Amino acid sequence: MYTLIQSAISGLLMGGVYAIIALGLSLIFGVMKLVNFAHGDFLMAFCYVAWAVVSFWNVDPYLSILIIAPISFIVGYMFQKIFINGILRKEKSTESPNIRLFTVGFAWSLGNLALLLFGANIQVTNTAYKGSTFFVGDYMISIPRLIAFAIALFVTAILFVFLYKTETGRALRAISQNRFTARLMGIDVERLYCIAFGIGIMVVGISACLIIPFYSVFPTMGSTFGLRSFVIVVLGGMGNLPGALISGLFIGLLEAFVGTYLSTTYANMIIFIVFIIALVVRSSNWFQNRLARA
Amino acid sequence: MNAKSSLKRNCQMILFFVIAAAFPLVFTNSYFKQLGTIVLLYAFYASAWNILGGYAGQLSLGHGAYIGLGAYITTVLFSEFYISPWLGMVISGLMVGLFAVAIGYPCFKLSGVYYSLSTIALVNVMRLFFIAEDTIFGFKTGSSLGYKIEWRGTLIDMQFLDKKYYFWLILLLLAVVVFVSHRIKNSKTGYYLSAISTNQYAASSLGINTTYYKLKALFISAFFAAVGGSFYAMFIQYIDPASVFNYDTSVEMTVLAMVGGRSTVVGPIIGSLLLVPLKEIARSNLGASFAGLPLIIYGVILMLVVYFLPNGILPLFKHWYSIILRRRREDLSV
Amino acid sequence: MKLKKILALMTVSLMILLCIVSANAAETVKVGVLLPFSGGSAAMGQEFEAGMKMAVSNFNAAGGVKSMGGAEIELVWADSAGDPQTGVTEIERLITQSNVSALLGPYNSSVGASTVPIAEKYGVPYLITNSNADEILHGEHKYAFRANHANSDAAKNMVDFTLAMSERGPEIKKVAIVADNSDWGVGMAEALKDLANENGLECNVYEIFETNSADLSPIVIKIKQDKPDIVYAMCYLADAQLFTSTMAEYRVDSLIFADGAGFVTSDYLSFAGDAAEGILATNGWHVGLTEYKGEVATALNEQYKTEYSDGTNMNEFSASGWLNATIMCEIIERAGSADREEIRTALANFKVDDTDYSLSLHAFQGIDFQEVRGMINQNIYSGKIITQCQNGEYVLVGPTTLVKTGNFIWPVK
Repeated sequence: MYTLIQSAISGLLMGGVYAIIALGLSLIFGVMKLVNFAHGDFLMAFCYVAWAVVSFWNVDPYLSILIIAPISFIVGYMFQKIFINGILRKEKSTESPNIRLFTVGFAWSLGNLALLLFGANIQVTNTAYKGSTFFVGDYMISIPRLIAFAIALFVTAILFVFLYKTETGRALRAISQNRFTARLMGIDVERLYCIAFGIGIMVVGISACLIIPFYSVFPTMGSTFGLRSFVIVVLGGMGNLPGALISGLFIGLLEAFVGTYLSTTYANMIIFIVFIIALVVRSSNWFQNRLARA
Repeated sequence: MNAKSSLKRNCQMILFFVIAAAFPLVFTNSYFKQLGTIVLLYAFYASAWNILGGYAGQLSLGHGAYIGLGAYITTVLFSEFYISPWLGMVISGLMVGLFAVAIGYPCFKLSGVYYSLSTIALVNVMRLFFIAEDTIFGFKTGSSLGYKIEWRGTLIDMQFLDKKYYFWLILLLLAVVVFVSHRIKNSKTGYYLSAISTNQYAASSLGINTTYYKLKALFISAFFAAVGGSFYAMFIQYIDPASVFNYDTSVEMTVLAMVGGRSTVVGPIIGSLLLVPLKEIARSNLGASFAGLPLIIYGVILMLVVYFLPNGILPLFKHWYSIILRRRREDLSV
Repeated sequence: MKLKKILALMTVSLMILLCIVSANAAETVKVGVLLPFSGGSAAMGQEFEAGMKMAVSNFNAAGGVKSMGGAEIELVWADSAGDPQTGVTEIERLITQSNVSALLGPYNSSVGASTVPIAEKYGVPYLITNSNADEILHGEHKYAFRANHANSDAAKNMVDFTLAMSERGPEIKKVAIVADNSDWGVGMAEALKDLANENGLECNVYEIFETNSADLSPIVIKIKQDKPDIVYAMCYLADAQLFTSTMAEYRVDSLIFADGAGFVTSDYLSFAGDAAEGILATNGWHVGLTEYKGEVATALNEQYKTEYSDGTNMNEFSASGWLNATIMCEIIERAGSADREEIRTALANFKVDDTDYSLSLHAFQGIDFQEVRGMINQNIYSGKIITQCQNGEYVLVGPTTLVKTGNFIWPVK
């Protein structure tokens, strides 16, 4: 019984963390159908920034969100504006493999730039939250992960409200459905792409602030979280933010249960297999029909 | 595409292979032969990938799954059953091709991006599986500790003392895959594939059995990837899951083919000839003192090429070549 | 159009420039060093480099190879990137392009496995530095030697010390084994499992996890339920931190007994804080050894602190780098030539006891390359020391044959 509940708690909390990391990717996917292979490396880069801000200026990691969020939004906005829009002008659609290739090149460069600048050693952020826990009976709840979980829910809710209740949000949804018609409707598609990418990267920046109190920062950390993000986004549905949250939690729970009851090696494999199954089921005719009917 | 220009192109191809074959005789230094072999191996991988990724437009980012599986099968056949790798690589190619088709059949229902993601999942599952399991189907594959290939040193065992034989072998394999690519491109299959690659729905509405042709391209592509893996195993004589089921190599193959010019026959080769030596030389000279710098250079060049030359480098070369030709013709006509 | 031309021209000139830079000259005895300077093990590569540089520069300053009229030893560096294929390419370059007389390296066991046959083929003596997998020295070979410990040595040290702790009491009945899925992790885990079984230690939890995991809670939850006395841990940098902090968060009583690696890097203790109190870790070397080894060791560490690091002591990697480079210098001195065969012979005949200069830092009883446990040319006196984190610092506590004060703390509360 202990194992079951403790695994569930730990899985849910990690799931929340995975979810918020994947959230930005889901938005970008949904609006622009763009696969950003540098997603994990953006996370890594902002983890270094957050670590530096927290360690050298003694800022509380959660307050540092106020600093990191606007910076990451601007970085995302400019990245889209300078690089991707440039490629987009020559391509027919955002699904073009060239954009994917560009993000691959960027991912390599960013990851190795971190290696060059910071070396291969890990950095641990020493804050008051590190290792802090509270116990409910026998069950351990990790405070930084709980905070991350709570903020993940909060951010998902805010983004959802943004998408459905604001003018800009509505425009973004319009573009995700049909970008040509949206343009005809007078929506400045290019500028909104920048906003979407900006928001996506902003969420990544926020996630970075949430991770550093309990996870080390190192140049190759991008791949672990990056791959999970892709799985979560596909499971939850492109652009489906609540879906990303739920599938994030699902993946967290799956990892915890398989890891505890079987072994961690199988947990990793099963996540990928679930991923493949989800991909196949999602695009199968049966599923498409059900979606259409819904 | 008239007979004369295709004849000229065939001659150019043959000339390339003849010159390449002379390489190890000119550069007898073992390091250069090693480097040359690696370059050609990547050109081979990229060409194999191109059949699926370029012609059929299915962007696989997990070809490492087929390379690795080919490497392990050939190694087991060699070590446990004493089957010569010459035969072994064909057997493993066929087995991996069938495996690819079995997995690919449901995955091809996925559109572009989703398909790519499923291939990433595949190569990772293979890697994790081979790490988790020490013994597969009763054969001790060694998990993370890897599988060392015994040195038997004869021609039948595809093991040579002088590196130049490896170089010629991979050159021969490259010639085979180029020939096959060329034949596919100019056949009915090739036309159908390019239709599918442009717009799958339009193609299928024209009555083309898109699944059949995509699977055909996948089979051939996976077959050659496995052959490449078999060569790798006999060349390096040591394989382990992290090295052969390698996501980075899978992405690199894609990059080389696309930078060179995908859906062309020589694109992947051009991409490899330009980028692989650059990376190796950068790492040899800068890797020790400036960790990470070689791959930064690699990444930046990739971004520059993608941004400025979206169709790859090959069209650029063709453009230069035609300018040179036009100038010569003008000189002559005066 | 113009931009594209410039781009192409730049790429080509860059390639040519790099080719020119790679040309070499100079008349010295060249020793090739293959180490990971990029990739996951890059941090270790840099430490080896520092230790080796110190050894060779001291040797050259003291007159170089006197039997060759004061010829200097030059280290030629190559980056293996921790990858077997890159290792093979780079070692070919060292052997055929740089024409090295001998080789040191490569730290990663998988790179060791792939490069030993190459050295064998060309007949270049290869002093394996720290690639601890037993398998590297299995099978017929002449040119590969290892002065450092093998994984089987480390496992034996760990289990022997566990039994010593158990003897003093309280008794240790159950262990757990947790390792990352690298070749080292898996190799050590298997060796430990075998030894545990042989010595009657129960082992229920045997977990191999993916290097750089996001979360190790499932393993810790299992351990908490199983309640073993000792948890043998094989983790690199990030995982060592994550495992330590997760064990602390769950308030697990079992004591971590790590096989060095991520647990003994210079930052580990300062990052882990109180959670690391009481942890046992094997180590190839520790500054506490200077007390046992004497003035020379202390002086060497001081020199390292001032000249090669920013005030931090040597650690197992820099010390191992120093050890192997010093052995190489002594060998070349004995061989009196840059000829590969003569150097190999000198290596094979190298039999010294613990008063030899090369063993100034390490606590081996001697160096003697023999065949043992299926490995050919393994130093039969190699082994690891055991340290324990007491009051925020690692203190030398074992092996019990060396440290007789019984200063280890068991049990740890």
